Amino acid sequence: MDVSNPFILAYLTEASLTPEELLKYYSFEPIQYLHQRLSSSNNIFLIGRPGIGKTMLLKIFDPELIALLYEGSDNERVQARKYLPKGTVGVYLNIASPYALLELFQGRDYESKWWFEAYADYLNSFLFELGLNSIEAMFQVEKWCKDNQVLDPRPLENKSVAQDLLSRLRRHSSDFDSMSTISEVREFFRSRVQSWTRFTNRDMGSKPPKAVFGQLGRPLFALVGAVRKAKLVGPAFRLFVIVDQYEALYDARAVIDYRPLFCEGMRAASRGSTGVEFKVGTRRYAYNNFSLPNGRGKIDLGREVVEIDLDAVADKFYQKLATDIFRKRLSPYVDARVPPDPHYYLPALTAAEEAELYTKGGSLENKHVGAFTDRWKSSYGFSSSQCDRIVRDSGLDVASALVGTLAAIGVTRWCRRGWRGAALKGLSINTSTDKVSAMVTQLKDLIEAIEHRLPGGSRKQENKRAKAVDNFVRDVTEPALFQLASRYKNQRRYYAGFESIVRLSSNVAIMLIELLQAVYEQAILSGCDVNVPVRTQIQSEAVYRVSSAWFRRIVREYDYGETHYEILSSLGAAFRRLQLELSAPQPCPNGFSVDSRDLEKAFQGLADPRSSARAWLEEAVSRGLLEEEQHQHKQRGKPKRTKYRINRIFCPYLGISSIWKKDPPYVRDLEKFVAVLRKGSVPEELAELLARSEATHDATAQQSLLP
Amino acid sequence: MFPLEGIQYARDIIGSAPWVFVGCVSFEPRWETFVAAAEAVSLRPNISHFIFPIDDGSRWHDECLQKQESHWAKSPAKTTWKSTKADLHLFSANPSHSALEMLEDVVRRANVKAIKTLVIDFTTMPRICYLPMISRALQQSIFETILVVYTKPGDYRKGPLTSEPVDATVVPTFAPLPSPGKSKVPIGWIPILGFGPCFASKITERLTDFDMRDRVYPLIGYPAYQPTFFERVLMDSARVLLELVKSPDQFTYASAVDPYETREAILRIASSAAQDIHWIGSPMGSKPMALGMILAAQERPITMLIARPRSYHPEYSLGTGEIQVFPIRIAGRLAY
Repeated sequence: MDVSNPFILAYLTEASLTPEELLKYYSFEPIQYLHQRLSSSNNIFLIGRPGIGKTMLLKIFDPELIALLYEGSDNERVQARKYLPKGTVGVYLNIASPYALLELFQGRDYESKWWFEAYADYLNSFLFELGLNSIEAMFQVEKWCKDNQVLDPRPLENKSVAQDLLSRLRRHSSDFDSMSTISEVREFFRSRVQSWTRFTNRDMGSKPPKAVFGQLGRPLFALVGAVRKAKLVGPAFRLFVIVDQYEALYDARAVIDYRPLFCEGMRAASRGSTGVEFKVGTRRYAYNNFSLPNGRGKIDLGREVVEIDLDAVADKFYQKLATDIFRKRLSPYVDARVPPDPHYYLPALTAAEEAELYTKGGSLENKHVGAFTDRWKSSYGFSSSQCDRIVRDSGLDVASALVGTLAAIGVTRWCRRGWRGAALKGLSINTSTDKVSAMVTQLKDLIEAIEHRLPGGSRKQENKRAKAVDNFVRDVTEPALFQLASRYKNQRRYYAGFESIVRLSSNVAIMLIELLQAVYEQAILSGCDVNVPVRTQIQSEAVYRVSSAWFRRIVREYDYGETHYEILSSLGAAFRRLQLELSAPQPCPNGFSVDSRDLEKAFQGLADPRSSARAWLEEAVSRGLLEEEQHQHKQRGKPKRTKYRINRIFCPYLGISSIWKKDPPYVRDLEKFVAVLRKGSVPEELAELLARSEATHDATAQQSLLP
Repeated sequence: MFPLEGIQYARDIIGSAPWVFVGCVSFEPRWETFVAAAEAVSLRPNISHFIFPIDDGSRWHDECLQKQESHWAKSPAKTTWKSTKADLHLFSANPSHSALEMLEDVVRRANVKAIKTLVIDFTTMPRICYLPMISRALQQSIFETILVVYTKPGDYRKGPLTSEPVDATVVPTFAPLPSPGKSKVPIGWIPILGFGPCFASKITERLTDFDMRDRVYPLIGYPAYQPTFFERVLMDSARVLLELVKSPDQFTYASAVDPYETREAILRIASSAAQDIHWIGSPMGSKPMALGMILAAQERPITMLIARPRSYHPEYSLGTGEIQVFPIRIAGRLAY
C-alpha cells in the first residue's frame, strides 16, 4: 500500500521541481483553449483570480519549458508544440520576484519622474540579458530550429545582427559607439543591472547610473528588430515579454505607480512591427490604470492591448483541467492501465442517499415535519390538531425525509401566496374552502408527484406537470438537504464526489489540489489505500477542514484580513439564515447583486477598504474572496448589474449552498449594505427577504401596498 | 561570546566613555526599559536618537499611536535625555532608506564629537529598520564599541500578534541577488521561524521562481524564551514549509536568546552546502536570532528577504522582562 499523498505538492514551481518534473504535471487543457488568443500579435492582459492558472498558462512560453517540449517525444508534448507560435521566444519577468526590486525603486531623494526613468532603465537592462539568454537557449534546440527554419544557430555571433543591433542602440546613446560585438553590449547591460542594484541596496559610495533608455522595451525592440532583419528564422521572429504578478505594481501604487511605465512599453511595442509583445498576467483590479507616464494620455484598450478574462472563460476548460490534474497526479499511485476515473475514486452521494445519512439512527420522530407544522401554526392559523391531521392524511409522516421536506416547502410557499391556485403548476387547483382539506390535497399531490419524479423514476418530461415538478425538485433539493442536515443533530452537509470538489474549488486549480490533498491525507490517516475509492464521509470531513482553514486564513494572511473576515462572517451568517428559511425564498443564498453603474463611478483606487465599501469590494474580489460576474437586470431595459458570490470554498464552513442559481438579492445602497455587515447585523435587503418569507399572507399583501 | 543579562554589563562595557544611543519608541511598554534602567545607574548617552514608527494603514493605527505618543511624552528619553526623534512611516517609500538616513545622521553627529561607542536598542524596532541599521552600523569603522540591547517582554498575548501581512521585500545593505545569467544560480533559503504562518507563506510566494530544490533549511529557536513558544513556532510556521524541506535533518536549532549561536548555525549550514549556492535569509523568529543572521551576513553574502505585517496588535507584548546585552564590537575588536 502506497501511503504517500499524490497531491502533496500544491504549488508546482521551480522552487521545488525541476523543469522536467514541472512539465510532467503540466496540464495543457487551458492553453489548448486559449493558445490562439494568447499567441495573437497583440499585447495582452491575462486577467484572473489568484490561483486560477495565469502563471501556468504564461510559463509555457518560458524557453526552458519550450525546449523540453521540443526535446520530448511523447504524444502530449508533440501535440503541445502546435500551441506555440512559430519563431517565437519568451522572456519571463515576475514583478513580485525579489529580482524585480520593485520595493527598492522608490524613495524620497528623487522625483517620481526620475524613478520612472530609473526603473525603466533597470528593467530594460535586466530584460535585455534575459532576452539574449532566451534566444541562445532556443537556438540551441535542434528540433525548434528545424521547425522554425533557423538559418544560423548562433544568432548572437552573427555580424549583421550585431551591426544592426548596435546601430539601433546608438540612436539612444553614444555609450554604444565604441562597441562592435553583442558580448560587449551584454556586458554593458549587465554592469547597469549591477550598478542599479548597488544603488538601491544603498551600498556605500554607490551612485545611480544615468538612465539611457527612458522607455520600457527599447533595447528589446532593437534586439528583435536586428534578428528579424537578418532573417535568421523562417517565420517573422517574435519575442514575448511575459510579465507575471502585475498586481505587485498595484500593491505598490500608494507610494509609486509604475503601471504607466508598462502601458508606455506596450504602446511602443504595438507600433511599427517591433516583434515584441507583452503578455501580462494580472488580477482583475490590478491593471486598471491605463495612463501613460507624465499625463501623456492612455493606452488604447482593445487596439494596443487586449484583455483575456480567464475567470470568464475558465468554465470552458476547467472541468477537463480538473480531470487532467487528478489523473496526472494519481496515475503513478494506482494500478490502472487506463487513466484513473475521478468519479470512481471520489464517489458522490445522491440527494436521497445524503438525506438518508442525516436521518438514519435518529429517533422515529419526524423532526423535519415539526418545523413546518410550527410555521403553519404560527403564521397561517392552523391548530395543533389540524396540523396532525394534515400530516397524517397527506402521508407526510410516512414519506421519506427528502420527499416530505420538498413537499412541505412547496405547500408552505403556497400558504404564503394565500392558498391560491395549486402549490405547483400542473397539480390540481384548490377548490375547497376548508384550508385543512386543501392542505391535505396539495401535500398528497406534491408527495406523489415528487416521488414519481425523483431520480430513479421516469425522467421523460411528458407534460407540463412533470416539467414543473422537475424544476421545483431541482431548485429546492439543495435547501431541503440543508434543512434536513440542520434539523437532525444539527449536522453539517455532506460534500462528496469529484463534481462537488471541483465546484467548491471555484475554478481555481490551486484550491482543487488543496482539497484533493486534504481528502487523500484524511484517507491515508484513516488507513485507506489510495488505490480504492475514498469513502464519502472521509471526503466530506476533509472538505470541511479545508473550507474552515481557508476561512480562518482570511484574518491572518490577507491584507485587510480583519475587515474581510468581519464582513464575510456577517454575510455568511445572514445567508445561513436564508438558507434554512423553511420556504426557501433563495434556494442558494450565497451572493448579492450591485448596480454596475455604482461600480463605474469615479474611483480613485486608493480608498481604504475599511471605510469604503467600493474599495473593500475591489480588494475582496482581487484576493479571490468573492467571485464576480456581470448579469442582466431582471427587468427589461434596466442597466446591467454585477453579481458577487462568496467564494465557493467558504460555503461548507459557512453552511450555505455552493451552487449558483437565480439572481442573488439586489443591493440598493452598497455603502450601507457593507456598513451594516461590518456591525454584525443583517442588511435590510436580506432582512426584508427573511421577513417576507416568515410573514403571514395578510402581512405580505399589506406590505406590497406600501410604497 | 554569550548574551549578558542586566544593565550592569552595558555600564561596565561603556564605562565613562561618551556614547550614542539609537532606540525606537513604541506602544509596547518594554521600549523604554533600557532607558529607565540606564537612567537608574546614571548611564546617560551623549547623543540619543529615537525612531518614531508610524504604521499608516494599520487597523489599530489610532490606538497604537495614542499609546506611543503618551509613552514618549512621559519618558526620560524625552524629558531627561533630550533625545531627538524622527517619524518613520512604515508604509511610505522605502522605509529602510529612511532608517538608514537616520543612522547616517547619528554617525555624522557622533563623528563631530568623536564618539566611538554605539548602543542600539532594537527591542521594539521593526525589522525593516533594524536589519539595515545594524548591518550598516557594523560597516562603520568609526564605532569601536557596538552593543545591541534587547528587553524581553513579560509575555506575549495569546492570540495573533500581528495581522494583514504585506508582500515580502528585499532589505538593502545586504548581499543583492545574483544577476540572472545563462543558468539559474541555485538558491539556499534559511528561514528563522517565528510566530504566525503568514510571513513564511508570503516569502515562499516570492521565491517560486528560484531554484531552491531541497535547499530550504529552517532554523528554529530552541530552547525558546518559553517552552510554549517553541510549540507555537512549530504549529504556526514550520508546517507551512514542510513541503519544501527535503528531510527532517534540514531543521536546525539555535537558542532563541543567543545571536552568536544562530550566527554559528547559519555559517555551519552554508559551509556544509555547495559553494555555488546563493543564500537568502528570512529572520521571522526572535530578535536575537535575527541579530545572529545579521552577524552571519557580515561574513558570508546573504540576501535578506522579509515579510511584514500592516498591523501590530496594541497588546503585542505584556509587561517587561530582563535586559539582554549583546556585545558586537568592543574596543575595535569583534566580541564574538
